[in-house]
Amino acid sequence: MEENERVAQISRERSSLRNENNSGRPDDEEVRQCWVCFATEEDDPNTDWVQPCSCRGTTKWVHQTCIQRWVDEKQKGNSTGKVSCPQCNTEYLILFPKMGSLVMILDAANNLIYRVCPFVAAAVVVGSVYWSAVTFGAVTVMQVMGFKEGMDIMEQADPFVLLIALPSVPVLLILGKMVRWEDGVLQFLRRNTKKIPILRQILPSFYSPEEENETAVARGINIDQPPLSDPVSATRVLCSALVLPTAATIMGNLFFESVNSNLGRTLLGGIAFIAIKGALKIYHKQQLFTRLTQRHILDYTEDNAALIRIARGSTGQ
Amino acid sequence: MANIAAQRIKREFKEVIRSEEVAKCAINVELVNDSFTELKGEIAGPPDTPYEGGNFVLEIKVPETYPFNPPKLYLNKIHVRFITKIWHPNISSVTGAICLDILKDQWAAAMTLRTVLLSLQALLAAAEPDDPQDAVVAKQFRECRDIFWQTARHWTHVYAGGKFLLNRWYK
Repeated sequence: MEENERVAQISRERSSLRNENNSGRPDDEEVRQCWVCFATEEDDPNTDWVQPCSCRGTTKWVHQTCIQRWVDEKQKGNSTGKVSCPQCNTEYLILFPKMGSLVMILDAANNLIYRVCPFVAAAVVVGSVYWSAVTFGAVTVMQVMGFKEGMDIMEQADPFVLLIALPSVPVLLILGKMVRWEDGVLQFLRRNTKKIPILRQILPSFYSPEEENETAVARGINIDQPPLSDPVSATRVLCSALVLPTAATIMGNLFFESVNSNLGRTLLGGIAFIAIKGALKIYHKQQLFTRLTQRHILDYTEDNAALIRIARGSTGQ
Repeated sequence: MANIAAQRIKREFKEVIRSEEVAKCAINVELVNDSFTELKGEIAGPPDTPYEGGNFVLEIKVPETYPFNPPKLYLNKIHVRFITKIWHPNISSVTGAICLDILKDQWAAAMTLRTVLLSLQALLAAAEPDDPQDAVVAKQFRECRDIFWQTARHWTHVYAGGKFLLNRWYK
C-alpha cells in the first residue's frame, strides 16, 4: 500500500512538472531541444519533456515518446532490461504503473514456463530415445533367443537390470560397429604380401610390383598411399549396427540349421555375416586402391580423347 | 522514410553546413538525393598524419530507423560513385567498411553527422591496430611503421589527391 501511495505521488509530481513546463519555463535556460528527434520546444509546444539522466547542455532534454522509443531499441524486446544513457551512463529510471496481483501472477507464470520449457523438451527427447532403445533391446533379445525363451528370461530378470541392460544392446552394437577391424586387416595384408610368398599366391591382387613407385621415390616425389579409411558416416554406422541382429538371425537360419540352440545359431550366423561382409569390404577397398594407383593421365590427343569417350560410355558414366 | 529520420537529417544537415569545421574545410556534407536517405560526406586528412592533404569522400546511408540506429558509412566503396581508397588499420582497403564503435553498438541517438565525421577524422589521426578491420594493414602498422606510413601516404596521393604533400615527402 505504501508503495502505491509513493507511485501515485510520483505521478502527481510528474504531471505538475509537465504543467509547469507547458506554461512557461521556471528556470531561464535555453530553448529545449530533444536529443533524439532534434525538434525544439517551439516546433511542437504540446509534448511531454523529460530529463532522464545527468547530462547537461544539448543532451539534457528529450521527448517522452522519443526516449521511450530509444529504450525500446536498446532493450530489444526484453521490456524489463536496464538501459543507461550512452553519454553519462546514468541508468534510466523506468517506472511501470502498478498492476493487479493477477498480472503479477501471470507474469511469474509466464517467466517460469519460458524457463522450464527447454528442459522439458530435452527430457522428452532423451526419454523417447531411451524408450526406443529399450524396445529395440527387448525385440533383439527375443529375436536372438527365440520368442519364448526371450520372454522367459526377461520375465525372470530384475526389472531394474532390464531397464539398464536392454537399452545398452543398441549402444553396444553401435560401439562395436565403430571398431574398424577391416582396415587393420587390409593394412596387414598390404604390408606383408610382399614378405610372405604364400599370401602372394592366395591373394594376388594385394601384390603390386612397386618399381614405378620406387623410381618416383628416388626422384624425391613422395607417393603417399591414398587415405585408407573413408570418412565414417554416422547414419551408415547406425543402420548397419541396428540391422546386425536381424542379419545374424537370417544367416543362422540359412546356414546353421543343425545347431539346436537359438542363441548358438544366431551367434554363428552373426560371425559368418561379419566375416563375409568384412572380406567383401576388404576386397572392394583393395580394388579401389589398385584402380587409383594404376591410373594414368594421357597426353591430350584426338585419339586419346576418343579413347576416354569410349571408356566412359562403356561404364555408363 | 520515416518522418522523424527525415526531419532530423534536415536539421543535422543545417547544423553541419553552419559549423565552423565546414568553414575550415575540415568536413563537409552534400545531399545526393532529395529524400535525405543518402548523403556524401567529406573529411580532410588530419595534419601530421600520412593522410594530411587528402580529401576523403564517404558514402553515408541513413537507415529508416535513424536516429535509433547509426548511419552506415563507407569510405572507399569502389563500385559506387565515390572513390577514395585509404590505407588504414580500421578501414577495409577493399570494401571501405569502417570499424568504429560508435557506428555499431556504441551508437547514441545524440550523435550527429557532424560528430560522426569528426570521430572518423580522429580515427584517421589515431588508429586502433588492436581492433582492426583490415588485418594486413594492421599487421604492417604494428610491425613496420615506416612502410605503413609510406603506403598510407602513397594511397592518399593516388586516391585522395594529397599531391602537394606527397612531393614534399619525396623530397
